[in-house]
Amino acid sequence: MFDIPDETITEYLLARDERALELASAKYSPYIRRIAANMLGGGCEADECVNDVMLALWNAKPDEARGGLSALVACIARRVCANRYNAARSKKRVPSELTEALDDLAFAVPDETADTEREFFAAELAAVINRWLKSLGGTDRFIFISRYYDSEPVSAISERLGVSQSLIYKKLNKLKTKLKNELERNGYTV
Amino acid sequence: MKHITEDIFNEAMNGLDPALVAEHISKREELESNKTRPARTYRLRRAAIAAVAAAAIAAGAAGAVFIANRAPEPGAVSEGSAGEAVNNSGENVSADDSGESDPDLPGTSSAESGPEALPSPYVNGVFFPYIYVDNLFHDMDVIKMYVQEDYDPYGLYERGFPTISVLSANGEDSDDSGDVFYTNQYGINIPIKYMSPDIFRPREYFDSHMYISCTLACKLKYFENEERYAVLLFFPVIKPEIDLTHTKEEIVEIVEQATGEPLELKPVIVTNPYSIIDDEPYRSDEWFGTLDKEQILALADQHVMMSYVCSVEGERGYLNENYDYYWSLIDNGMAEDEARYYLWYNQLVINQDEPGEELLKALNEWNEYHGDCVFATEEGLIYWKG
Repeated sequence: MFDIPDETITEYLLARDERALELASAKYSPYIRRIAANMLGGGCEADECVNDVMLALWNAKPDEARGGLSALVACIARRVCANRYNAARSKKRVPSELTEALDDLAFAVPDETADTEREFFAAELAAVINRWLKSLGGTDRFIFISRYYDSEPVSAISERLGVSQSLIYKKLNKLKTKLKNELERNGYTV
Repeated sequence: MKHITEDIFNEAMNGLDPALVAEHISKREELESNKTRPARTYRLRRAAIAAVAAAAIAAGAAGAVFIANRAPEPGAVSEGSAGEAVNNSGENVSADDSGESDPDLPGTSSAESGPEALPSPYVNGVFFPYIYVDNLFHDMDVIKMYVQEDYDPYGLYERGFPTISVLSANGEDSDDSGDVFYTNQYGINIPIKYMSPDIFRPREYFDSHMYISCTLACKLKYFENEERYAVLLFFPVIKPEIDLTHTKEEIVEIVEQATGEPLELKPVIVTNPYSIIDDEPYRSDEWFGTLDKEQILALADQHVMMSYVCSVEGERGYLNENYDYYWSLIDNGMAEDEARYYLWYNQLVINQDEPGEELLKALNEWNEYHGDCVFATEEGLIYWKG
């Protein structure tokens, strides 16, 4: 099922054909489940995440100019899982890779900033991070996004790249320093 | 200053550019699909390099010193041991190693299509070796090389030295780990940390005196564990805006823009004969054929280069004796060209059966500490057996 063309799914989606969701689920549920496990921990309800993503996908419109279906699914999955993470985290610490990754970045704990202000702030910050990511080399970008977007464990990243975990840790440390410098250069503190 | 908290950062990551996300997904799929590739390239390359080293060892058993002049005609196919063809990228293309070619690996060709002719490594008279560093180091695992930006304990990169650092297979805990080299135009990687301080001269000095003007870019490609290799691209003058993250095509584009000349990639094999000689895994006869001198020369002619690269033990410099001697000639008033000529031509080429006393002394010092050595210069492959 992995080779189901995105174009086919997109066509079905645009035609409001429910086969789109069957195919998308077949193709992307392993990815969504992995993101969910990474961000929410092993005990997460992955099926619910898949359903949430499929629902959001049904209401969205894939845009090739914005990365197409795969990017759309990934973005939705990330957001769905992040929302669940935030909800769970407001109650207790979530034992997941995302928690580890965020701890690793040593940002302060969440504050009480108002939602609107926070969203604006986050959008502004996202623009800085996007610019910074685009300035990186491909492998560095891959490592960073794997760790802080997909919340992949370091072991998984190292395995995927075929390098040692220690190397990934070294690269992440360098990237964190670079990001910190970039953020400070743009008027942020961490 | 705005303060970033965890949730702000996490929210910001939700706003990652979809184009970046798409690229990321594509890259991950590519990496995952690479895991299923056959390891042919690795086997072939390793076999080819080991065969050369073995042949050099065998030839050197008689105490020979010889130089292989570079043959100008690429594309020839020579017969290796046991009738195995060795193409001019140094690959063994025997029939039992059939498999698909690796499109990401310049110079590789499938057994079905036969060896490919290689372009000249010279662009406007400048040597442009495209060097593969295979995982032939003593720990029999992949060697990783980084542009010096990643590791610069001596501040050499900042000072303009064309240096690289070498990390071991696991990134640490190896005698190779963190060793720093620069590579001259002959493909000889010199471990800087073993050099005497007077070697640390400004880059311009190297450029004008040693023609060591190569900076380097480093490219890593990862395949499955058995098939990892590093690709180094050495090129002169250009301060590399290249790092290990660039694709082959991007590297070519940058170099071509910088030189104004088309760059055709050409594989040159660099390995460490000392490691091959001294490390048990490489002593296995299965790797060592019976190439004779002519066959070695044929390989050298095919631009198979062997270099010191790095070695494994002792605090003594590996190239120190020879190299210090070289500098001593210069420090004593000999022009660099003259010294180089004295060393490589006068002593080895012209009087190759009777190496000069000083060089002999230097090589014997080397040999005393490190045993046999095999290295390549622009003039060809040199083997020394003390």
